[in-house]
Amino acid sequence: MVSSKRCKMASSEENKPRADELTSLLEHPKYKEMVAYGFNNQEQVQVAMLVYLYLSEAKQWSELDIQPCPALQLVTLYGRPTQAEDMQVLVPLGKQTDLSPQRLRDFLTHVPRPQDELKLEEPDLMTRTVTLAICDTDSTITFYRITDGFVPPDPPEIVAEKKAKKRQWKKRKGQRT
Amino acid sequence: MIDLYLCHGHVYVWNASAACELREQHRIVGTFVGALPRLPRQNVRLGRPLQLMPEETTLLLNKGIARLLDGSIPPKTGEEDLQAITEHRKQSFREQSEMCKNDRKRKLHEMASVIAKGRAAKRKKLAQKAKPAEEGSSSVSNNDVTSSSWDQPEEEKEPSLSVEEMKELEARLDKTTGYNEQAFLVQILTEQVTEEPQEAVPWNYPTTDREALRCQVFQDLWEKGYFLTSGGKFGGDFLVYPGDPFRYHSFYIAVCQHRTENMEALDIVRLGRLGSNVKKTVLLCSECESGEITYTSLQWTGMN
Repeated sequence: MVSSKRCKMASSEENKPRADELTSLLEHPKYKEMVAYGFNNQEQVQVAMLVYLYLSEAKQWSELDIQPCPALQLVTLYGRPTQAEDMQVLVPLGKQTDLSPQRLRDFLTHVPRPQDELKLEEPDLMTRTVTLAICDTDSTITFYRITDGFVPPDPPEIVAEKKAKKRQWKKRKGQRT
Repeated sequence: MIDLYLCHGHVYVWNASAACELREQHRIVGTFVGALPRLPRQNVRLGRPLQLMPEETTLLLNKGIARLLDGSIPPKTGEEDLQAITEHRKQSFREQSEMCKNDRKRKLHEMASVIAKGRAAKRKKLAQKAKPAEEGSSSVSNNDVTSSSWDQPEEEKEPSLSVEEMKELEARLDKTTGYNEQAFLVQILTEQVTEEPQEAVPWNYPTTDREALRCQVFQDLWEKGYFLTSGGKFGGDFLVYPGDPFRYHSFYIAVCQHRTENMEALDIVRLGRLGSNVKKTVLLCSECESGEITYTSLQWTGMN
């Protein structure tokens, strides 16, 4: 699983016109942009880069971009999993990052929203959810959503519906390949 | 005022109506830990006493719903109490032997036709045996009625017991006195029969910061109208139910953590994965600077 992700990333990079110039992630223009924010947090920048590449190349998110969060000295990302879905805000984190409940609250209050989203919806509602992208040393990434307040779990009907959809999607995917 | 009994560090409710009141009116669930008297060899369903979590006790005492009494003092027994209990036991024994007798009489009536049939069969057998020996045996057995009514020979009729026979059998039952006292049920009192004024004992929980936070979170969630039970089964502090746990699955696994207490990002993964596996939301509960409790929901996104 992990290795296939890497292959995907690598191959898509090669397709770019400047492929031979790119000897490592460190020369990626987005990486340079992240470094230019000047946060004293080298590790987090690298994690953010991995997450960025994974989402853009393997998951093909739309409107994916990076955004600095000076208050927390973090590089954050935002984007939509598909065109139809809501904009998500992500905080890339290494697996051993120290987190405290207060730190999680800070994510909810300080991580900026993309500018255009703010105009569309109420700003205070928008700051309710942040997705944590937790990255292991072998570049496996898991996504967990934190939300202010109580979020009841999906009722059984919706869970069943989601499962059915997933099964269908897998079936179709199987037919294509 | 509901009486809670403190015994070896645990708090119990013994009174059945008090346990009902706690659950129905005060949303305090507790755990039944006692064996059911009629089903002592199983532990799927348990009965009184109801054991309360320390947080539940603290809440009930804080709200003035209950008082805490010392449950470890054995009840005082003077000569009079001893007599009263012995008399109570004897009375119960008398009642039970009466019931036992009536029960056997009822059985006798039910089995009347079977007995009659058995007797008829026996008579037939005896008659066949007696044929070669001719007369004699019948007169012997006629004199022997009281000792063994089984060989009482009679004229062949419908196999049913006559009124006299029935009466005789019943009379024999009535004469029976040798019931074994050991075989009867003994009522075990779970509460003192006599009212005795008792002093409330102090309850010192919470003592540590962590316990204090747990109590605060418990009270806050309880005040929001949720039912709570211990969350040990699901790796959290509490399970949060939207209604009575008999009728609902829990929605949340509450995890209490101090605002500044550090954990790794991996812990987030652990908690989130746990919650998604059991279809619950993990609720991180911590106190904010103003002392209020803040809740952060943690869910797996479903993305990999």
